Amino acid sequence: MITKRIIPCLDIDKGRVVKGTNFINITDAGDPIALATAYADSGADELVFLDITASSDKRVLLMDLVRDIAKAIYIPFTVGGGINNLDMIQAILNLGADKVSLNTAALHNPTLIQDAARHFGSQCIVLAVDVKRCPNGPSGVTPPPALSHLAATTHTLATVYSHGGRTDLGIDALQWIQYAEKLGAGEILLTSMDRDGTRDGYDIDLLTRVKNTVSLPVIASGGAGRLSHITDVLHHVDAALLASLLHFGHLTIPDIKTALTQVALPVRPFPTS
Amino acid sequence: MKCAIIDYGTGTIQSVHNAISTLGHSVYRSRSDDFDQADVVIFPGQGAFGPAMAALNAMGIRDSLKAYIQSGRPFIGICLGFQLLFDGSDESPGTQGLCVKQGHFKLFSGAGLSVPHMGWNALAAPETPSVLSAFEGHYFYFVHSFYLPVPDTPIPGMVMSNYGGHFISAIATSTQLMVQFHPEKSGESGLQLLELFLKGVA
Repeated sequence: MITKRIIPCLDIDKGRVVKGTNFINITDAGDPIALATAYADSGADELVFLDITASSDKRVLLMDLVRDIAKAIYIPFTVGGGINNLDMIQAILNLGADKVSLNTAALHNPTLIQDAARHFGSQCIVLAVDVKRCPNGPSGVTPPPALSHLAATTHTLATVYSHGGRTDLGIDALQWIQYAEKLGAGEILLTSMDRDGTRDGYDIDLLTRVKNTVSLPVIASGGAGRLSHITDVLHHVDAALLASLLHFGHLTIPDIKTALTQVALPVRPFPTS
Repeated sequence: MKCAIIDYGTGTIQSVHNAISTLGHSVYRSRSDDFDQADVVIFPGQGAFGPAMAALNAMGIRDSLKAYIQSGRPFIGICLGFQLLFDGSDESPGTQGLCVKQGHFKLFSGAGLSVPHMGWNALAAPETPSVLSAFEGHYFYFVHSFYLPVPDTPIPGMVMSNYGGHFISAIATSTQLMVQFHPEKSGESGLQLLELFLKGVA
């Protein structure tokens, strides 16, 4: 039986982890390798590194980091943040990353998903989707030309945002995800902007709709505040992405896996030594 | 030991390289018949069945690789490098694999079953004792959409896993390890398996 995955997400700026300030037993909380190793050793099933560096030397810094991570941990890892062409994807995968996550670039150029899937296989293309519910109907934003067929309607539950959640593109989230599956995306990382940072729990209703719309694995992100949020959401989706809750030491991966076992959800055993 | 990794350009092989290096073995990448000079040949893989076979043909190593594997010399096949040992796959109808083993890969399907099969899954006990016996119940990392159905006549050394039904997740003999999962991405269990296998063929 396949297990539910717990995936710590590390935000990286100029080769350093940001926000990871309170992790137990790490003297340098900004060292991505030390943090990644600690998570891998405590039973993380995968890791996501999100590069938020905006500077022009981004690419060099990122490549050095990917090379170092690949030599330090032997579990799968995904790299995301500003990836916008096939050469960059190839370079990241060649250095030992398992997957790349695409977001804004895929929204501006959906054929990137198709090209990347053809070249490298769907299994390494994670589509990250930042969504916000629109209970009062769509905002009326005109979608980018390439996505005009996905324009939000009065039936739209949530719309998709680009540029790290700053820009509403006026497209229907479920339709975008369905379209991306057809183009060759291999996995969906769905972040609820309504819940992100609230600690009120995942948007399970929305995640369930996404899960029922595609046959791809779905990773839940945004809103985890306590153990029950994680056990609840993993009854519906394949994996949970966690950041501050783990980074600040509020929960550990063994805590989470123990709780999942108690509700009879399958997990990969974590090291007990 | 000296390990050759077949580099046929469609997969990423750095992780395999890192894992073998970290276990203290020397590694070189082979794009020709020079894999023959290694103590162990590693055939990794990611990507699609058809293009991978085309790459092996273009490199001119299809027959020599097949002969190497058939000779029973030390060999590790991983993921697509496991699938390509068989006759074919629904992924690329009409493309013949290396045909070292009999079998045809089918697409996972079923209500509520996510495809690809992506994540950690456990191994059952092997059909006949092997290096994999020590890993019964251990979890390994899988990423694949096509699977090898369990045949009516068991394949010697085969191991099953379960994803919407049983499929063959590995085959091990005393000198050859063929796995659908990624040992190089399966944490401690993965490294231990590689180490144990390499020790056994040293």
